[in-house]
Amino acid sequence: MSLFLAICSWALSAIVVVLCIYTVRHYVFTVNRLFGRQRHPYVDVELARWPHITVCIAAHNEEMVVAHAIDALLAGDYPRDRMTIIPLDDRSTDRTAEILDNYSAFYPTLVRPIHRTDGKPGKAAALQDAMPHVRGEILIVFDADYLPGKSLLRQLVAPFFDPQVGAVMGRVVPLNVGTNLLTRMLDLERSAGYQVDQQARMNLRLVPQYGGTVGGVRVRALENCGGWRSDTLTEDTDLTYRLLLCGWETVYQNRSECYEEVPEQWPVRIRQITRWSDGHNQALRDYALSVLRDGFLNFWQRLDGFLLLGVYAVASMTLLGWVLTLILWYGGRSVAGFSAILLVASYNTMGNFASFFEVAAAARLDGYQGRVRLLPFLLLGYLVTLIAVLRGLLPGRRTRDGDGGRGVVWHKTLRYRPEEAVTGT
Amino acid sequence: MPALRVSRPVDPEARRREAMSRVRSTGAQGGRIDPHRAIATIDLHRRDVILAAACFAVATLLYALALPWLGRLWTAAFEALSAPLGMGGAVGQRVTSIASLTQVAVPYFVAQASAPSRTEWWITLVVTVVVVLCTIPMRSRTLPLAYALRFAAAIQATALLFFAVAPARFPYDLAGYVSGMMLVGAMLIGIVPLVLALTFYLIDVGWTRKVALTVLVMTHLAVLVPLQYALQSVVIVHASLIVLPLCFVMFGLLPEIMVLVALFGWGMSWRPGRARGTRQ
Repeated sequence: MSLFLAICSWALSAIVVVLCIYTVRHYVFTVNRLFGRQRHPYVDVELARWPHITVCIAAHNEEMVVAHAIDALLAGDYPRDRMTIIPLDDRSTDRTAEILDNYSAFYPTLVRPIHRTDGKPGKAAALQDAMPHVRGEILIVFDADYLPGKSLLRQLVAPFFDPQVGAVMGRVVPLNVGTNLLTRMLDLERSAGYQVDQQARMNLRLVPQYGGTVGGVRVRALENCGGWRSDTLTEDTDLTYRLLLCGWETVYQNRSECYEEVPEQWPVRIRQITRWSDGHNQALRDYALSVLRDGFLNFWQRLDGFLLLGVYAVASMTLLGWVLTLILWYGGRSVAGFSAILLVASYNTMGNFASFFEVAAAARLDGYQGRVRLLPFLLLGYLVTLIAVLRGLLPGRRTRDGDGGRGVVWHKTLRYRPEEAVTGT
Repeated sequence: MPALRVSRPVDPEARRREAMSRVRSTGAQGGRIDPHRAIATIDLHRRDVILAAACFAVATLLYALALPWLGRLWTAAFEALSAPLGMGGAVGQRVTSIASLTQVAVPYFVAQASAPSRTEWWITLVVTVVVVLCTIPMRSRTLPLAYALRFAAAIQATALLFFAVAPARFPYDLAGYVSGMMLVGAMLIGIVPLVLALTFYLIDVGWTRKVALTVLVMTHLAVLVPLQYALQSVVIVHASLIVLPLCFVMFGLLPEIMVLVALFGWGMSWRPGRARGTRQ
């Protein structure tokens, strides 16, 4: 029994060490973003010979929102003669196909929808199908619920003048912030993730993440690293690491803001996190060793790349940490047990505090410091995240397809756009 | 809108840069133009860091000096609450030295909390099951609350299991638990200045407010901790040791940290005291 408790104690100590590393990471990122020198190398590119680009909009049953996304793109200032919009209708059963065909009739050279009726479902598979139709060297990707601003395309394309850049990521800003507590909390989380995490990675020349939407990828870089993979749940994380390992740079543009809808219901949010967690852990298994061994990355890039891969694994470790804490507490180990419990307690104070600091700093930089008063509620959100991550680890969630690849269960995120805003053309 | 405070550097080049910066951030009608949020930063001066370190050192020192007095205050609170709470009147003290520099005597009620009887065990089981059942229809808006309740029920289930299998091996008694947790509470109050020095003190709000928030957090916790554990003592004495694990996990450090986070969040919501920078 005492050997078992000793093992628990050591395991708990190891978990706390890992959690402390993430704490330091949160804190360094926040301090860097607040007070450090900021890197925005491409933000001032306004005049250029803009290249021909293709903008893909992934859509599956998006009749409520897809027209808004296309309208917003058409209202932008990117030269229309150097742009092709390819809405990817992935076997929609609502009016999505009809809406897209209407746009195509109005703008036959500009909007060229692809209607998928068979093949693998999902965004990555749809993007694979779109590749033969892509014109130009730059591919920009949006989800159908996104509302790009007037200059967003130029801002996203500008970094590609740098030949080392393989992918660009813009900032995602929630559109429906004030709907309820969940949307407000997601706004805080998004703010911290982009305003602090991504920008600090950019500042420190670490590993900014390509997020799969509000971003672009150089076609040559994409082909160089193997194209879109349809057997992953998070094709964006997967692509980030393949680009990194192939030597391409991913750039984050904090100034390139695009609005999106965030989930307004907890079950939707849980499904989203479960999918992200599943996909992220898959990427962890696929790329962790390669990232750590890559000779072209410097030490900090390897460390950041590895830690980024582990963000959802850490949630599982936290849960395990609490189980171990309880075992040790019931075991009543007077020295090691109490130390371990104190370690966990210390982490809960200082560790989580670094995350709270990050969120508060981001909201403050955004100029919405009043929202920081919701900070304690993030603990509830964290509990839900833990449960969602745990659900992702449960057996039987994955399906396997016939050809032996990793199958995928796709859940479409619900849209909340008001009925009166729904338009066709 | 607070005025832009500008020091007067001696270096002509620095003065020129500063003048340019002032022109860039001044609107046509003389108002201040804040940088876009994507590029905004907060100016951190060396004096801010020095003041943060000094403030942390002073607050920690004062707290260390006040610890014996705080222990007496908490003991007085326990003595005053003992009779109204029906705890029998006797209050014990556990004296702990901290790094041989100071010591704190935390109080506890001299009362016996027993292992659960068969009836208490079954009542706890029924309550736990009812709580879980109540969470089943809780969907969407109240889902986090449902998860929190299920988490609490899971903790309680571990206690039920422990007392069903090995009640005699439960390693804690009321006095040891309460005094231990109050000591942890005292330590938590002690690290508040450090936590704030590393975070809040670096932010662009005035120093009066920084000091005020420090005093507010520490005072709030100093009042909360004895009340929290006095209440837990009453609950544990009446409901038996079977609720002690739940008290430890859900109502121990957690509410104290929530208080710290809530007040920190309030402080972080205060308006900036000076103009934003753009470090590029």
